[in-house]
Amino acid sequence: MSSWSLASAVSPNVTGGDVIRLNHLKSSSETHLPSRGSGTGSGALPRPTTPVPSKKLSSKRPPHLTLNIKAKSHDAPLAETENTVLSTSESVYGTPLGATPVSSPANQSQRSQASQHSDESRNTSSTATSGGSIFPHEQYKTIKKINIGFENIRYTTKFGVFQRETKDVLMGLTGYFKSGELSAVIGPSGAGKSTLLNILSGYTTYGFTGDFRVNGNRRDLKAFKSNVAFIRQDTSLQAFLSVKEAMHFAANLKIGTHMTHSEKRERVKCILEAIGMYENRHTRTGQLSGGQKKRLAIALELVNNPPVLILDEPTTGLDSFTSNQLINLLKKLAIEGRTVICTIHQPSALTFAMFDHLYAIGEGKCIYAGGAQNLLPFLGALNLHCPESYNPADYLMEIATHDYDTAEDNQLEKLVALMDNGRNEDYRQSKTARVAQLAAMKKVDQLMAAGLITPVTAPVMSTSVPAHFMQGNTFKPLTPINELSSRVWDSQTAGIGNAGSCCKPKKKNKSRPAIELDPSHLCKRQNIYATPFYRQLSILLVRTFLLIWRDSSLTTMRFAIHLITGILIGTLYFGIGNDAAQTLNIFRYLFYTIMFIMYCAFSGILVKFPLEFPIVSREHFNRWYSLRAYYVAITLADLPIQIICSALFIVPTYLMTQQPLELWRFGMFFLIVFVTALVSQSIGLAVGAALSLKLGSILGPFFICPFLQFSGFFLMEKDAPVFLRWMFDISFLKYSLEGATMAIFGYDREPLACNELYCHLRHPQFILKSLDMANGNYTLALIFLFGVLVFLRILAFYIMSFRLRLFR
Amino acid sequence: MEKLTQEFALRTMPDFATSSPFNIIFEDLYYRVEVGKDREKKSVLKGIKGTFKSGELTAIMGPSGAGKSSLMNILTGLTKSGVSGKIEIGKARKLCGYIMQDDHFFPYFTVEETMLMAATLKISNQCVSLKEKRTLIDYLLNSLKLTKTRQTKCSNLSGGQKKRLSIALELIDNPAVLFLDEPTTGLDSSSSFDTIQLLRGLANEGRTIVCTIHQPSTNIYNLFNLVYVLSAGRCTYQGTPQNTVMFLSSVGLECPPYHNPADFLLECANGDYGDQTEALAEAAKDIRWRYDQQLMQGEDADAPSETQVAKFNESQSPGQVQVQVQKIEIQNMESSKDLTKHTYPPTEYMRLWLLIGRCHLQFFRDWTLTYLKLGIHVLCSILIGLFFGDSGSNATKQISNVGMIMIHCVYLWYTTIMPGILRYPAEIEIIRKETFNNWYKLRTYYLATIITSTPVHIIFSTVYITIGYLMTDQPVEMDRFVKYLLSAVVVTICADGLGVFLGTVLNPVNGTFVGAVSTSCMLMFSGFLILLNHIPAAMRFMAYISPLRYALENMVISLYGNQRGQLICPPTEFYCHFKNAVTVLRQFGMEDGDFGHNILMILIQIAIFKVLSYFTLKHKIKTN
Repeated sequence: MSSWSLASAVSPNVTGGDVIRLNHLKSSSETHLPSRGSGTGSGALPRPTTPVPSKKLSSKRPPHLTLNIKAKSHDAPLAETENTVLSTSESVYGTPLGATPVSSPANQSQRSQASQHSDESRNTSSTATSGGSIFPHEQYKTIKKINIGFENIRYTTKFGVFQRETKDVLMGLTGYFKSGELSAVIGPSGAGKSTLLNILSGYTTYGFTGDFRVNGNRRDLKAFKSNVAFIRQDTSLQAFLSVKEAMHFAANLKIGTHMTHSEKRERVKCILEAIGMYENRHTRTGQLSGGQKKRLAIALELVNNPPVLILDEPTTGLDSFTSNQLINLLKKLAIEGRTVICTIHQPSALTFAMFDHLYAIGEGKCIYAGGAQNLLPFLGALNLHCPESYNPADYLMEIATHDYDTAEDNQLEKLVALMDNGRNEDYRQSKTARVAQLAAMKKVDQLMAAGLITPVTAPVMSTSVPAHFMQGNTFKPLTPINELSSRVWDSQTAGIGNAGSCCKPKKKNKSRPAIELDPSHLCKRQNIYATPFYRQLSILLVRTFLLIWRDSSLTTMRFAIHLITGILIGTLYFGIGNDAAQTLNIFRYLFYTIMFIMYCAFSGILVKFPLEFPIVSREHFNRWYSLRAYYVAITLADLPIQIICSALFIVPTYLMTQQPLELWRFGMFFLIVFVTALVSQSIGLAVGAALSLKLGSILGPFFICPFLQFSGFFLMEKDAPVFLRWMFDISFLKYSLEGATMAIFGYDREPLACNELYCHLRHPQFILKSLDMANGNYTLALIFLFGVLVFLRILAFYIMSFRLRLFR
Repeated sequence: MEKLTQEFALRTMPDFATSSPFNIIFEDLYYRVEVGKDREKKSVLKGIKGTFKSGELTAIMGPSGAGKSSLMNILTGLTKSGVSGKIEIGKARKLCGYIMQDDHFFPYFTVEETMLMAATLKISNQCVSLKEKRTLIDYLLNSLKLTKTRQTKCSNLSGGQKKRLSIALELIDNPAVLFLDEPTTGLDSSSSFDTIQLLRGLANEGRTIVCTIHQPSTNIYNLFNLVYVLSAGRCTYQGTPQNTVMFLSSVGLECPPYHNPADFLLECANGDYGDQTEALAEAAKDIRWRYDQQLMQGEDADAPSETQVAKFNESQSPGQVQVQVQKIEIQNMESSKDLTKHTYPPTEYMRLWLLIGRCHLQFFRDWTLTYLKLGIHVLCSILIGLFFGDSGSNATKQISNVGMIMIHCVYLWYTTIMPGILRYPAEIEIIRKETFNNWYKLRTYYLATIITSTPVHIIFSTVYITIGYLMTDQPVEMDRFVKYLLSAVVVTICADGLGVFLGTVLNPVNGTFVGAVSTSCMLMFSGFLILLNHIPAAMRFMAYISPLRYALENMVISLYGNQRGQLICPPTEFYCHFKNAVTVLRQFGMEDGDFGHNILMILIQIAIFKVLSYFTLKHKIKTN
């Protein structure tokens, strides 16, 4: 009541200003309007210095009667305002429905609903709340309403060499972000905007104190995070996927089995059309422009229809028109019922007018929290009058950086005191302030219609409304909007409507009393992922395969190098397989095969994870998949590549060198070499996960070279010092070489052919003895290699997990 | 000290302010590029003209795709093909400084060190002494509000501080013209205002400063002397910020209240209020918008409402006061003018020397590149020494001894080629900025890095080889050791050359992979895994291009050639096949090896790699 009274006290002036603005927007060619505009403007110049709540006015007359009084004195301008509102209103909610031709009957029903809404607003005897919406179609949306409140948030960061010094970043902030509103957090650098967003989204989970409320209840962070999509400033996308493919992978990962495959595809198409990127659906994401990448980053998180969108500086790096386009998209997403919160540096006037709620931070404190249109009266209350050529947001930022301080006055502290560090709700946006918003949105829509900006709108996400709802409406024409909305919720949750965002079984829904209905608890689950593990795994496998084949430079190079080197080695060691005079060369061939495969497997994967880390970090935080699914996917996806690479090398060399053509010997040889490749790859993965790109390349060789000398090729174990023989036992290369030698020479192979007078190494048993492998065991070598492989894989997984949690 | 500071303040002021102003004049400027598969010509700039005067801060504004960056690149000389028209930029382009949008610094240097290196690179010691350079640096840091960050490393600077440091670096040699590409992107309103205010002060000293900018706020907008708006390749406004409202009013566009005039101007230029490009382009040809509005008030009876003008004047009053203060300061300084010297850059040899010093500093600041790697070298060497024991003198271990030499070569090669792949890609943005702004020539920098890295490779391989040599009981004869060490050193330098070449040709992922493969291939043809005389004649040429082969042969010759005595046969052995050193040589087919010839072959390969790397680096810098 108090906030409404204050809003009604200032609304005549705001309305007057809006009338002037609207006249100016129209008057580019009409010459008689400027004089009228200036006349009205001069009337609006005197502004109240101190807003005083007028309780008597509220108690005596309803607010709409005040509007009627004003309408009598300014009949023509207000009439124009109403026409503009209705016209813009129709164009606003007509656009998203136009994207789907099938829903034209719903469009007609909504128009009739609009007329009923206007009738109800005239006849109703109860007072509408300030949060009431003039968009009647909102009641049909199935987006969950999530209001986020926070109180007395404090955050302290530690820095210095030994983390001894502390710095207060946030000092007792309090605020409230509503669903259906586009909220902007503004402030100078270092004020704490990104810190607040990280805390709100759950990205930062420690180091702060304070209370969080989600729809009035204490926040359950795990359940809350499943409703939040956090889109950070750096937009890292998979460069080799096309727009459509990226959207489909996101949809399959984030939407469960309650939607069919065709429904998901339809939703993806609808989203791409809505954000104006359907024509770019075959373009690879690496070739998109800056604005397109931002919109795609939003679209990827929209596929599962999150009720809360949090964006960190979405317009940085974009020009004014791309910024207006993006904010327009966010505004339309908010109108549908979502809670959209973003930080922004320097909004233009057109962008500024589209915000519902402004939350300004200066030096860790709240210097303004309210409607964008109420900023000027707020500053005026402190004798801070914004020049007409200034953008109010710029003016507020200059005050926050002490540009207008005097020797006696600290303007920032005065702002904090009047705003009570965010607790003062007197300046929240009023209903009539939406007129200017609609004008700003209409301006950007005109740009889209003229083809100067790619058209964007909010995608239609819900299924069609059952027909009996419309019939039910006709029986209760005088029901207030709020009651009707809650009844729709009640009916849908009872299972009549097939709401896409609700995933509860019908039985559990029926057992709940309707009076205790709370949207934030509807979809609470033990598992925070939308898809089960095996489905995540299969989707990630397909994506990883796509990326590997798209990155043809590395994959083709791997294949070609293995094949060319194989042919080269085969030519060098041609025909030595059964020649007793070439026994040592056979041994060298075995060693070289293992060493080559080891080097290639290690180097090919060493820099893979560091390059993908930003993308994996973002997708993992937004709960696209679990790290386990990602890890298993990249492990399985590289197996065929590694098999092909090994085969491309081993098959030519084995045949060209005429090794024994028994299939089981070849199988044993191939298996031991392949497992060696996997072990080397695991070492590369662990090193790459632990170190940065540069350090991994510099220090990586030091992790692989020591195994070379303890392989048994350069020095036999019997010749090594006794105190160093244990290093042979832990060197996987020794077991690889031993297994390969046993595969070729062991297990009762016949003596090699001798074409010379005397062949010293002719009998395989003697060969093994001279190579110090008389007691070699192929099975034991294989078991050891598998053990090392499993150990390294687990180690790499925990290194990745540790890095994802701590260094994002 | 204060007098000296003032003297340098005067010295930094250009002679050009009085003798020859550096105005930038362009006329009938067209720029066409080829787009699409059919190579269709597209006009980016369509016959624009303008004058950017010295002593003025000019802002180029417009939406994306309007040609702002194209115009900037044409004026700076970055873009040359596809340009037609008349351009006058004073005397020479060498007096220009270009500050790009992204700031790149070496992260391990402090602000003062960075400034001092730039000063010594840009100004010769013969005209300005080192002490005077420090005074100049103090003056510049103080002017740009960077004095407090003097000892801060560049990686710890904030966005605004990095931007100001970029400006300070280019002010050292007192350029007459400064170009800045979006100097406020990424900064907040306070930092943006400070930066533009600084540029305004620099322009008032007589320089010509041109920058592109997005969405300036009103107070920033009012700091510009001239605003040049491009839209669809045409100039739609050329005048002072204060004349913006009247200019738009002259074509029937009224700026609404509480609207930033800069935003409104851009919205009009982009067609938010209908397609106004033609009308704006015609109206922009009038040069009266460049002059103060007070002259216009007497002429134009249809001026916009006095309230709007009064509000606009009120909003710009803080900037005016500052401008007046600046003018007063300039007058005071000009009255005591005693310029006698003109700065000129040092010789290229001096720059080479300075760059060598900088590379050394950078090398030892990065502890992972030096201390950690040296420690690992020592550790691996000790490990190999313990492993092979007395293989140097034990006749039964000579095959293993040659294997140890092989391990040494592979180790040095592989651990040197991988860092080489990443050396230049990490620094290429800094090199591009500095070479474009005439800090030095690319070949000077390249030579400096070679001169810096070669001793490092020599030291590392010497430490590694010496420990291994002594621990494995190799023959203690100086000539053998020197030959042995020389072979290891040259193969290390060769690995670095190949690594640098791969790094400039391929991206880091492919470079790393190809580096590993090259290690394997050269190991194959080194003469150890397969004897040289066993290689088929058709593939013997591969051995001639394998540096590892030459190194291995040389190291074996060093140990076993030149009439070495008999090796020790342990009493437990009845017969030692390799008791005579010549038997080892014969076993590996190296009996006829020529040490000098092999060294020469490796040196030739080093030269080839170094020269190829220079040209690929040059090509990479020129292409984006």
